[in-house]
Amino acid sequence: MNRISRLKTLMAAKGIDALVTFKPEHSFYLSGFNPIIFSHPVIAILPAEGEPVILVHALRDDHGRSESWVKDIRLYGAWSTKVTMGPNWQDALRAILAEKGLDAGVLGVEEDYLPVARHRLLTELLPKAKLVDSSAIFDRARLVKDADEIANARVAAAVADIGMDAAQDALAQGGSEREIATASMSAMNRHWALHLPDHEVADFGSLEGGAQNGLWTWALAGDRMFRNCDNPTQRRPQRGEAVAVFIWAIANGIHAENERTFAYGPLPDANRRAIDTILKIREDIAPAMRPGAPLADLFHITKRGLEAAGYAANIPGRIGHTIGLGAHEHTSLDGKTDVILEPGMLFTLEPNLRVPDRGVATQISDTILITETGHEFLTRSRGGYIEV
Amino acid sequence: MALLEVENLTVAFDTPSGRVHAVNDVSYTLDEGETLGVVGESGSGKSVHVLAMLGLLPKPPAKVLGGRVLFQGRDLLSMSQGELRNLRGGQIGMVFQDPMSSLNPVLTVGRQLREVIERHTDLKGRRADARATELLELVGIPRPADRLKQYPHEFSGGMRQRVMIAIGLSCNPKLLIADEATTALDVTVQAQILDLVRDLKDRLGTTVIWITHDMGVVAELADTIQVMYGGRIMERGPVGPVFRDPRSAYTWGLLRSLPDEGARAQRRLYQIPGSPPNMADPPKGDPFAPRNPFATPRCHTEVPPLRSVGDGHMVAAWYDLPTALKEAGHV
Ligand SMILES: Nc1ncnc2c1ncn2[C@@H]1O[C@H](COP(=O)(O)OP(=O)(O)OP(=O)(O)O)[C@@H](O)[C@H]1O
Ligand code: SF4
Ligand SMILES: [Mg+2]
Repeated sequence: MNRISRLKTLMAAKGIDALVTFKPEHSFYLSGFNPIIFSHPVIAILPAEGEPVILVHALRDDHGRSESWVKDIRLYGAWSTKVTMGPNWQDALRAILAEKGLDAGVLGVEEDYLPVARHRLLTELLPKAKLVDSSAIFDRARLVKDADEIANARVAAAVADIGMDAAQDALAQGGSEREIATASMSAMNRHWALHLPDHEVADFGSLEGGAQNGLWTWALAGDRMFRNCDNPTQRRPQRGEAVAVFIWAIANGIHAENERTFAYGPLPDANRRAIDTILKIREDIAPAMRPGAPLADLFHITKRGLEAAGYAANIPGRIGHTIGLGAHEHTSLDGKTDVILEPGMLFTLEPNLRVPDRGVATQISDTILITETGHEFLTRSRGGYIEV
Repeated sequence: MALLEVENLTVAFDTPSGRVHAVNDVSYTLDEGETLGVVGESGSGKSVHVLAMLGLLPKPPAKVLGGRVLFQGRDLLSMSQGELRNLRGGQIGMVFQDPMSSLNPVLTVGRQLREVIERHTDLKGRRADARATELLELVGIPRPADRLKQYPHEFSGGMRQRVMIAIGLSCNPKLLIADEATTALDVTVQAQILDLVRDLKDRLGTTVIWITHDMGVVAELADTIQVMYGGRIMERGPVGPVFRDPRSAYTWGLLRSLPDEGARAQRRLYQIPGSPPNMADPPKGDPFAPRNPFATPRCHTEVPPLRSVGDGHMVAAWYDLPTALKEAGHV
């Protein structure tokens, strides 16, 4: 798997002997196993040399074995007749690291995720080890997607497209924000139920809960677009308002994002002009989405376009983000990023406008894959100015 | 002069239910300026044989088991993906079915045409735009400059297919490969597009491979017809002689199922009895033998080679069709 070799290269450069991961996205990245609930941690260990190991609670044994491609699965805790390494993960982890000769090594842990208490516990548990931050390594490795991840992104994008069509229909029938959202989520779920036997749509949970289903839609009408993200309400769009539909879909752990702004009846000139400006900018950006091009160029093209159209005061901070295991991965499409585009990179393209004093907002986003020769739009919902 | 020489092309897919022998030992030569019509039932290997030469098959499950495909003397099968990418959309233009999934609905038609032009030619910016306008005009789309600013959903199905043809032609390809390019279109639009392709051939001398289910289209468009079955060439030759005097029982069956004015009035459309071979477990001999009323014992055990039966007219058959037809009282 390429992600394992990418991580190992990055580990070597930082002198890390093993990665010890607690973050749900990362234990999945290293093992292919999403337990959905993380109250008992799933710990993946990737030694600089050798195969990954995962340590799971005994009650997740069967699930883990059926989903993970990791062969070395160890158990902790007590459950039914399962034989485990001991009652808690702490001792089991220490034993695995000792067995691999890593207990006095340099261990990469996710400082951007670990609770302070757990970090302290690890420090006490492994007095001879040196704990260093592995967050940047994961961010970098995750920038480029493997073939299986790209295949899953395509599926997620196709599901999101189905959701967008359903949202548009619900809006055309005068639906409220909630009706638009539920019609969209229902269409995505129906498609999943009928046509995607081999894809899970679980998202990544937290220490206190899980996300069984990551097919999300929300809609914001009129001035509610300025909230950007809010649970939809019973508010019905009024004629002449713009309505934004936001969709995050997931397939086997990989997300796609699809967002459209619909005109509910003819829009006032100021709103129409903003949408046309954004559409033009997206066209100008397209040729710059190719391997070898600086990611920051995409932002600069947007900035120039907005300035030329008289929106200099409304330049957004970023015009998209990388996407994958997270709906929002960590690299931003801003003017400062030093990322050079490579085949396999996946990000959202979403130059947009918010002009609060004129009541003008646009929200259009697509999931883009960088290919050998250029790019591919994975989300393929209708483009252009869409009036319903 | 030969533009394309296909030699013993053999392609299989390794699937969970076994190896599917999609293309078997296909050889032919295509001259510059020639139009080849490839026909055959669903699953006969028409698409796979061109996708294999263009390097567009997913590997795995696809595997090219053997052969060479010389384009202007260079073997496409041993080129790198990069070289092939430069050829595709450049010297070799392609038009596939289903323009809605080939065109990007998110960008304007103009942006998409321009991208192909900028990638494969020296034309940039305004000059690429001018070329895009010219191409839309060429494929018969009115008000091309306005149309370039529109999105695919603002075009009709026929117009989208014309756009795909415009993209296929954008770099003045030496070879245009069209796979079921008009199948989804209504008869009038199909006729317009065939007119257009004929016109382009005449004006630009483009060499064409036109893949279709429709013998009528082949009769109208092609110089040479190639009939495929079970991943093999069953018969091949100049359109006139093959239509007048078919030598393969399979071609004969296809022609009988072709509705002409008289036939339509008199009888129901003829269908070749039986079903296509299972290519995961193909028949030992001639793949058509199990459905062939004229098959000889040898047809069931040994694959017949292509042999010449006239000027450029070849057939793979152990039986002699004219004799067999006479004996069966068909003539
Ligand atoms: N990706 C694939 N995996 C497995 N088998 C495949 C794949 N693609 C094609 N095949 C098989 O290869 C054979 C030839 O298919 P091909 O698509 O070339 O047929 P065709 O003549 O173009 O048919 P149609 O007229 O339906 O387009 C068929 O048996 C088909 O099932
Ligand atoms: S479930 Fe069927 S009808 Fe609904 S989106 Fe999927 S394919 Fe279409
Ligand atoms: Mg085909």
